[in-house]
Amino acid sequence: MPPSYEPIPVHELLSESETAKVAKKFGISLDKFPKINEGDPQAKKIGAKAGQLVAIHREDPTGKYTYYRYVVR
Amino acid sequence: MPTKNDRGEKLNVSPGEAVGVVAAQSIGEPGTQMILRSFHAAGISSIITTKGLPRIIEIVDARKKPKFPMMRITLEKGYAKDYEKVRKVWRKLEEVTVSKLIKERGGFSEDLGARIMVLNLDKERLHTYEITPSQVASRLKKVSGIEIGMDGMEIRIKVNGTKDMKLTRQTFVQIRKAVVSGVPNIEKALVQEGQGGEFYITTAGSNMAAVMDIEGVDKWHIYSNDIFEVARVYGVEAARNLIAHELFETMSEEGFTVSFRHPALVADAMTHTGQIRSIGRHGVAGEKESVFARAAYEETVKHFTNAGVFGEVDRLNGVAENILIGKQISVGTGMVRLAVRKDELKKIKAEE
Repeated sequence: MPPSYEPIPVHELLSESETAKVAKKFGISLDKFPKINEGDPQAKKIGAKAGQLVAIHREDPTGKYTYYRYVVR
Repeated sequence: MPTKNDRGEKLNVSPGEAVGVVAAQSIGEPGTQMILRSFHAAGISSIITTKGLPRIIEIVDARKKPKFPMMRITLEKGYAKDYEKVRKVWRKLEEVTVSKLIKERGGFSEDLGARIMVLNLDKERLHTYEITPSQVASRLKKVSGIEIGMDGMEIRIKVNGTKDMKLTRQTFVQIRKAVVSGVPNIEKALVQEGQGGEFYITTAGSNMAAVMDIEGVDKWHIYSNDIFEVARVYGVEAARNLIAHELFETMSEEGFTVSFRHPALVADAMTHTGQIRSIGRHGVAGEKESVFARAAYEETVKHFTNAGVFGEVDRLNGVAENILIGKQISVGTGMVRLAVRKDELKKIKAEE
């Protein structure tokens, strides 16, 4: 049977102002977010550089939500 | 497909809820009921994969290679329903070595003294893989130090490069193992039909990067059970999806219903650093912030001596270290702190 789920969720690079907004919403500094490597295939695809924040639009059996990952080298 | 739990969807987790403990128990308890010896349940496909508890352990321990790697390749729209086109893709997949093309009996004979090897190609086998004898010969030309003579279905090989018997023997083995066509690491490929009449290919062995280059393959929907390969080719997010769904599905297959959020939490913890870490001594548990928490788990002496040598500080924020020193743990109601303004307190007293 073919896969029952989308293997790769949509990755979106956040602008500086959006990043600040998200950090404020969670009340933590950026380095406390889950990480993604700069060399990660998906990070490369959207051209994310270390220090930026990536929004990941997930969709799984618990529902639709956005996850964030901080780009590190 | 899991059904959506409406009640669960409405509920957010209340602050201070020990989600990790709940997730651990939700996976651990069914784990105790699972059959330990369901090592490799073979399906109809005859492609073996690890199932049940051993598979869960494999995922959680983040093994570099699964014991039985496999892939499920879906094809692009124009290909998926056309059997002939699917067959074409399939032919490019399976790793075909010379030994798979020679006759089952008397397929080859070798004379180490005279340094001559004779290969007897099998007509039917050549036909299934659509390979001509000359293709085999041209592949063998890449092997250094040999002379090739062809006679219909027979290929005569003479080793000229060396007179050493051991080296000759090695060359013979090398010839039989030479890959004529297909993708490296894919031992077996099978065409299967889905419910909607579309075909897909299941393989034993995994090599996503090479398969992606084949025409007709739906590049971004290859399923592989090799977590590290998925992380390398698709990225961490795909790996976390794989971990979560694989845990969930393995448990469902054994007949246990778990809420998806529990395996999802495990997957998030494992991919938190952007790399895949195992749960346990060498991964998540071994990289905890607190010295006490690590020492309470495994390798107590190692953690204490290291902490002493390097002057580590324990901020006592976690659960384990607070239990250890007999303080209230910061979970649930224990997480709430009270702050009192002393001057305001005086006012109240004065009013009384």
